[in-house]
Amino acid sequence: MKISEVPLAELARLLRCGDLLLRLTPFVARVASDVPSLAQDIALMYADFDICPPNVFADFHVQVWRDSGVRRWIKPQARFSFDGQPSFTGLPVAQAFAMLEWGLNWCVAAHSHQYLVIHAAVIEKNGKAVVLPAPPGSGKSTLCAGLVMKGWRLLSDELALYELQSGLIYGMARPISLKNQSIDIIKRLAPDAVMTAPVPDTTKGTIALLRPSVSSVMRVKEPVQATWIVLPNYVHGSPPILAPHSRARTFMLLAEQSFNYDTQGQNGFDAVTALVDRTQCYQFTYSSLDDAQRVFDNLLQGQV
Amino acid sequence: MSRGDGLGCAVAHPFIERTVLALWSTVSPARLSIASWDDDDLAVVYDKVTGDTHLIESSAIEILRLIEKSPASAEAIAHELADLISADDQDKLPQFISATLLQLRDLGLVTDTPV
Repeated sequence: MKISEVPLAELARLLRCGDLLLRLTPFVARVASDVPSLAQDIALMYADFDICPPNVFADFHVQVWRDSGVRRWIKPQARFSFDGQPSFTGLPVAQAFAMLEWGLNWCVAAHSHQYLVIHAAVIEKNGKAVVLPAPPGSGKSTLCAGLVMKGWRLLSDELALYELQSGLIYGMARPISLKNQSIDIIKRLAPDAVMTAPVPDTTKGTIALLRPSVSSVMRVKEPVQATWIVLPNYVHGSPPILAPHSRARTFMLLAEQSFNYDTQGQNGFDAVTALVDRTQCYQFTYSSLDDAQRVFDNLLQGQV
Repeated sequence: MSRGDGLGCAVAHPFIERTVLALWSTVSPARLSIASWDDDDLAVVYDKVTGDTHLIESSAIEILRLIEKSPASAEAIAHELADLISADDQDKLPQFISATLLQLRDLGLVTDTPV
């Protein structure tokens, strides 16, 4: 059953009882919360995701609970817990959904060593996939959202799950996290895009989550082989420049942007080597999503 | 290792004196994994013991592969690599090899034994 088929009141009940099992392929997360707004945000952002029966194995048990006592009423806060253990500093209740997203990212990044977990966006079109690894501030999510709004399939905005043996990359097709000016940029680009209400004053500024397309969610079980690795580099006012990038430097960036490269040891080195071997590596400097769309379409058509 | 480590300087260098009287070898051939690409003048080396991955000049890989087979002096390395270097750069080769060996040693990838 999909989240969109569950009445909001039932979704809130499942959350309160800790019986919401959200399928985040290839994982299942059991989510519990007493934050009323969380049911609405989950309904909005995960509308096309499946929920599982209560007896299904859950990889991650997470909770977002409001603080008790006075803090329940004065500047109310919520806390993220993993397996019943509070895991992060509390945040204002208004940031509960963002906290759930960040907490789920942490669950996957810290525990999924069957994959090399790379901090990267992954998109696909016509069977060809682009990996966009980048440190914060490089414009990765904006670029990813802009291209997804123009027909690319979303695999991942944050976490690329690179299977060490096969070289296949999985994503969870989860919502895209937009920050500050990116929110209005994507609204102008795609007025029909479904987003959460912007939440100001987070540690990352104002953020809003963008719902993934139905087709991306429907194809979440389909992995990709990367064709290109493109390092996004947003520079205000810059013309679009797609320049070949050193494979060795790309290797080092992928290693740096992987949460468990060190844990993987030799297997991690071999996996990143294989990924860099089989792809073309570029750096893409840009300031406009219209330019980006044109350049990526050219890339797709072999005109680069 | 920076890109400035290449064949850029013609002036004799004190590094040379510190490297010619030694026999150089990799820490252990089985300990290092190397990835290099024909279209890149940089390469990466993984050290299985420390778990560190190093970005180095691909020319340094030539030296690593050479002394991986058998320990060699800087002079012998220069002799082996001479064919790969243009005639204009031949006089800079000893300094380049000496500087590279010392940097590889700082990374823990090669060792030197006094002779």
